[in-house]
Formats: sequence, structure tokens, C-alpha cells
Amino acid sequence: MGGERKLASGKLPEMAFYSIVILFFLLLVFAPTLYIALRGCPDSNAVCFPPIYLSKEMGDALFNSFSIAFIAVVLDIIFGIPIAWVIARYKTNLKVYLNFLVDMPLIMPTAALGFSVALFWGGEGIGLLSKGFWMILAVHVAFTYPYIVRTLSAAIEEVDITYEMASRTLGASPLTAFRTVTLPLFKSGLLIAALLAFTRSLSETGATMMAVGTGQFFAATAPTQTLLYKNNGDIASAVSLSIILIAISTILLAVVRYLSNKFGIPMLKVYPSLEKSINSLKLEKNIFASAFFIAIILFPSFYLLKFVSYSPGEFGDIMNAIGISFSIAFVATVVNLVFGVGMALLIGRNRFGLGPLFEFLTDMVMVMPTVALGLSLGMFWNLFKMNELLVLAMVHMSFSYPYIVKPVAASIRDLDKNLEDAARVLGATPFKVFRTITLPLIMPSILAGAVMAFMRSLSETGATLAVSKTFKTIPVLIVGFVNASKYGDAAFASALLLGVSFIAAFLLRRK
Amino acid sequence: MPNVKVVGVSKFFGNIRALENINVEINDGEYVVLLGPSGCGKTTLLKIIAGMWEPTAGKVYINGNDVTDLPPEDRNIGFVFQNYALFPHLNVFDNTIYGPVVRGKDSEESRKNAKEMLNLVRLAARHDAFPAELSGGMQQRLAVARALTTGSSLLFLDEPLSALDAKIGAELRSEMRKMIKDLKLTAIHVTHNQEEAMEVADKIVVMRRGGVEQVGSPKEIYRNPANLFVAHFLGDANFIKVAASDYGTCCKLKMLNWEM
Repeated sequence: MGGERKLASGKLPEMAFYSIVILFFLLLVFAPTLYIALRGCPDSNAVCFPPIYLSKEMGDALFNSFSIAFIAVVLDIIFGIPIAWVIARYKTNLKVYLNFLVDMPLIMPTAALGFSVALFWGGEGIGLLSKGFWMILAVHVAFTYPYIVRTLSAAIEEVDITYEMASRTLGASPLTAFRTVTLPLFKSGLLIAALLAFTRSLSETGATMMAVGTGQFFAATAPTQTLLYKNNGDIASAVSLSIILIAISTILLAVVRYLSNKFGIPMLKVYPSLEKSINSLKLEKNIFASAFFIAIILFPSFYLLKFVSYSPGEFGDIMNAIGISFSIAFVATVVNLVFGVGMALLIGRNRFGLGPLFEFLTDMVMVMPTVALGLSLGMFWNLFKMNELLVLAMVHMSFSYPYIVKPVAASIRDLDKNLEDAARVLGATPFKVFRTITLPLIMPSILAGAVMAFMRSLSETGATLAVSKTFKTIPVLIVGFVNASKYGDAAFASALLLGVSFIAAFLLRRK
Repeated sequence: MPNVKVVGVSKFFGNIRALENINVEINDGEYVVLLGPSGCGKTTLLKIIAGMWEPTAGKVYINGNDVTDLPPEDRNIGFVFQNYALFPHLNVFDNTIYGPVVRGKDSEESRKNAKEMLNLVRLAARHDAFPAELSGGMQQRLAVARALTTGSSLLFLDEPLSALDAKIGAELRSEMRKMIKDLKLTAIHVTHNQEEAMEVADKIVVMRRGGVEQVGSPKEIYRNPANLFVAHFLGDANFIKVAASDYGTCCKLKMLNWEM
């Protein structure tokens, strides 16, 4: 009897807690992002569905966006799998260094990264590419690569190495074992990685702006085209393109989630002698993948350091922008930590059977192009005449929210439920169990999620440009500098930000 | 039928000694059990012979050839893993034929061979089921069938029965021994279960703390344990407490109702 009563009285606070978590998500994160689809009419207060149309210009931009994202993801996967495999399977120091190096482009704001890559390939560097489609592609390959390698190495690590061993004892060479056993077993990880990188590429604004020719500064990909419409006052077109982008991302997400359970990698014919001879090139293969990583990703990413020059005139602006960027990122991350961990609990534990639904909604926010999201949130909060800085913080909160929820939910799912039961049997209340058992065990993923969310916020250009009129975050400032051909100042601001991010990431990693 | 020779094999993991100077000989068609408590190095030795791990020192010979530097795929062996490692994305038949397929021998003959092997382990009716849909005993039999379809006559068994219920395990072990003997295979079987070892082995290698304590037939080591550890490990019936009842130039031992 006593036990039953205790459980019953514990139910109410739990319900209240999850209600707050769900309300926060629906009202402050999710609904505002979809507002654009419901009330896109800029000039009237009446509820109306905005007209959706597709001009030739929009079609071209969409086509560019999709082909760039597709080619970038394919290149990333081809050259990412060997590196991811080394990170997941090697036990040597090489693994530690590679892990660190692969993360490096992640801590760089995408605008700065795009600037650097464009400098490297362009006339200021080796002069191989001129601004335009191929330059944008080079930039997108660079900033999506870490997402692919991270996700892939985590997925490979989850496949029990015994399967590879079993395959080897049955006569397969290491390459055959990987292709016929490991690859099919982490295919859903591969799909998720591809989706993440694809939608990041689809959504990126700042980095793209660095790689388009000055004549057509904006009109290259769908997000930049959206911003151009907005700047020219053509709100109807901006809204229309945004809705199309949101719809496409959502459909992609649904298709991939459906496919990840259904589709299989068929066991194709095996060519033992050929695969064996390819395998004997193992060392060369690894060197080739590493060379690709260093030459295409790492070196171009930090090429801008060569151009750093200091001019006192801009120093005040830079410090001001860094202050704004860090305050917004800090506020967004802290608020998300409080409510995001609650949502992660709901998803990871599948409370009230709501897990899959909210997981999908969170994913929807994650794959949504940030320009569209920013445009929608800006319109929504302007209804309430909200302070611009606050709106900016709300926008950053929305798009960085999934980056905390996803890793934490995954680690809660992996947590052994018996540990919590054991603590309950020993007499701990549910809250005490959370504080003394669950929280310490999921702390690493909370920290990882917080770093990720903070970096994403620091690095975002498109969403900020979509809402802010007066406030300049650091990526926006960098875009401005490049626009005005002040390369030295742009490099200086990037390097400064890079230094600060680097120290922050290093400190967090040591913990 | 192959023979295996292990000469002076040692294995260190950092500063931790897993095996030290092991010398073991396994003859054609012999069923050998490596027996010992957990952490004694028996699985390490098995994986070194199979080529999954490299020894820190020493040599491994199969059929008189030095295979110490050969990867597992080139040793022509069959290996049954502790938790079977059945490929979860392949059905029973595809698991069974995996060996011939990755060796490029996916012929009519090998498919017939695989079907026969499934018949032998009584799984032919479940050929299109996935491993997760099989019972523990069926999974174990499938693991054995998969290991044997490669045509190898040297079979490694790493705790092949420990994941099963005691009763099913006891039933399967006599069945397994009979099959291995019928097919005239050489088998190396790792276990910590003395009863299991006694029943299946031609020869038992008792191991402890990375070293070999005694080698002999089950009868030999049961009747004549080389030391107190072996006697203890083989069971309680072997070891009887006695009391010295008289201290003289010779001693008198009193045991139950008997006096010596």
C-alpha cells in the first residue's frame, strides 16, 4: 500500500515537469518556426496562408543548393569512412590526434571557415578555383566533413568488432569483412550522417556568401537567395522560398527515417583476390584519405591565419560583436540545457509513449534551414514587439536546441535501467536517483551537447541576418568585412574568435 | 587432419602478463580442451593460435608450417565464438555460406555443401530465419555449421556452451563431440567448466595465471593431479580432508572411519 501511494504522489510532479518541458518546446521552439507557413502575410493582421510560388530564379537557387549538398556529402562519405574507421577501431595515439584534428573545423564559425577556404583556392591562395559553383562546393565539403566523420565513427564503434573477427576467420580479408559485415550493420548511422551533413549544407548561409562572386553576391543557393529577397523587400518571395525549403527538409527527414529501418545493403558479389590486393594497399589508402583531409579540409580551413592584420579602427566593432555573439550563445545554451535535458529524458525514456513524436519534431527543427527558421521566428516575435536582441537570442535558442537534446537522449537510451532501479531499491527518491545516478552518467553527453550548441550559435550567420537590423554578431561582421574587401580585418576577427573557441573547447575537453 | 604446435608463446598486454612460455602440442584428430578459471589466459591462447592476436614471443605451427605472422583468413580454420557472432543482417543460409562466398567459391557445389551442413545440425527447416529468431541452442548449432562450411578440419570453440541453459548445454556437448569425431576434425575447445571438459576431451590442458599446470587425458589428470590446484579445480570428490591422529616417526592419518 505504502509503495503504491508513494508512486501515485510521485506521478503528479513528474507530469507537471514534463508538461513544462513540452510547453517550452512547443511554444518557444517549435511553433514559432512553423509560424511562417501559417501567417506569412506581411502587410495585414488577418490570418492567411501565404501564396506559394516558384520562380525560375528560385528554381535555379534550389537546384544549386541540392547539387552542392549532394556532391559534398558523397565526397565526404568516400573520404570520411577511412578516417572514421581509424578513429573507431585503432587503439593508438593516431586515434587521439585524428579525433582532435577532425574536430578543428567544427570550432570555426562557418563564415570564417568559408572565407578561409575561399582564400585558399582563390586568387589570394593557390588560384585553382574562381568564385562560383565549384568554390561553394569546396567550402561546403570542408564544413560538412567533421559532421560525417563524427557520426560515422560513432556508428562504426557501435558495431561489435567480434563480427569482423568472425568474418576474418571465415576467410574474408579486412576490406571484405568491412564491406559485407560492418557496413550493412551501421547503414542507419551512415544514413543519419548523410542526412545531417546534407541538411547542414542546404541550410548554410555565411560560408556560402564567402564563396560566391561579388557580382552575384547573394543569388547562389536557396538560403542566400532568400536573404536577398528579404533585403530587397520582396517578403512574399522570401516567405515562399522559405516554406518550400522547410517542406523539402521535412520530407527528406521523413524519408530517411523511414528508409533507415527498411533498406538493406545487398551483399553484392565478392571479388576475393581483387579486394585482397586493394587491402594490401591499406597503408596507402589511409595515407590517401589523410592527405585528402589535410589538403582539402584542414589546411584550407586555417589558411586565413596568413592574412591576419590589425587595424585599430575596427577593433571596437570586433570586440562589440564578440561580446554580442558570446552573450547570445551563452543565454541560448543555458536555457536549452535546462529544458533540453528534460526533453531528452522524455525522448530517451519514451515517457507516455511520446518519445518518437518529439524526436521527430526535434529532428525537424534540426534539419530546417536556419534562414527560413530565422525569418519565421523574427515575424512571430515581432507580433509582440519584442526587443531585437531578445528575438536574436530566441532564434539562436531554437536552432541550437536539437544539438543538446539529441546526444543527451541517445545516452539516456543507452543507460542501463537496472542502475536506476537498484538505486530505487536502496531507498532513493526519483529525484535523488536522477541527481546521484542518472545525471553523473549522462554528464559527458550533456557537456558535449552544450559545446555543440554553443558553437553552432557562435557560428550561425543566416538566421542572424534574417532577423537582426542593428545588432551584428561576429560572423555577420566578418561577412561585412569581406563584402567591403577588408580581408585583413576579417582574418583578424576570425583568428580572434578561433582563439577564444579553441581555448573554450580545450578546457571543456580536459574535464 | 591438421596438427597444431605452440612453441614458447608469451603474451603481454602492457605490463600485464597474460601468457608466459606456453608449449602445447595437439595431434591429428585430437579433441583438446583448454581448462582453467577465468583470467588464466586460455582464451588468449586460443585467439593467438587462430591469428586474432599476435604473440609477444614464440611461434605457432599448423601442419608443421609457421603461421605466426599469418592473418586469420589465411589460416584455414573454423572458429565458434563465445556469443556466436552470427551476422544479424544475414539469414541462416547466408550465414552458413558466408565462408565460401567471401573466398569466391559461391558455386553449386558449395551451396549443396552448406545445405548438407544445415541438415547435419538440424536447421535445414529454418534456412531463411534470422539469427535473432532462433533459440540459444539453434544459434549455437548454426555457429558450428558456419565454422565448418569453410571445409576446414581444424575447429576452435571459445566457451561454446556457456551462453546456454545448463541442461541444454549438457545435451549439446555430447552431440557436438560425436559430430566432431564423425567428421574426423581436430578441435580446440576453451572452457572453465570441468564437467564439460571431462566429457568431451581426449586431452585436457589445465591452465592457471598464464601458465600450463598439467596436460593429460581426463582420467590421468583426475586420478593423478599434478598439484593441489589441479586437484581442487577438478572437483570436490578428489580432495578429502584428513586429520593426523598420531605423531610418531611415521604418521597416522584418520579419515572418516579409516586409519592409515
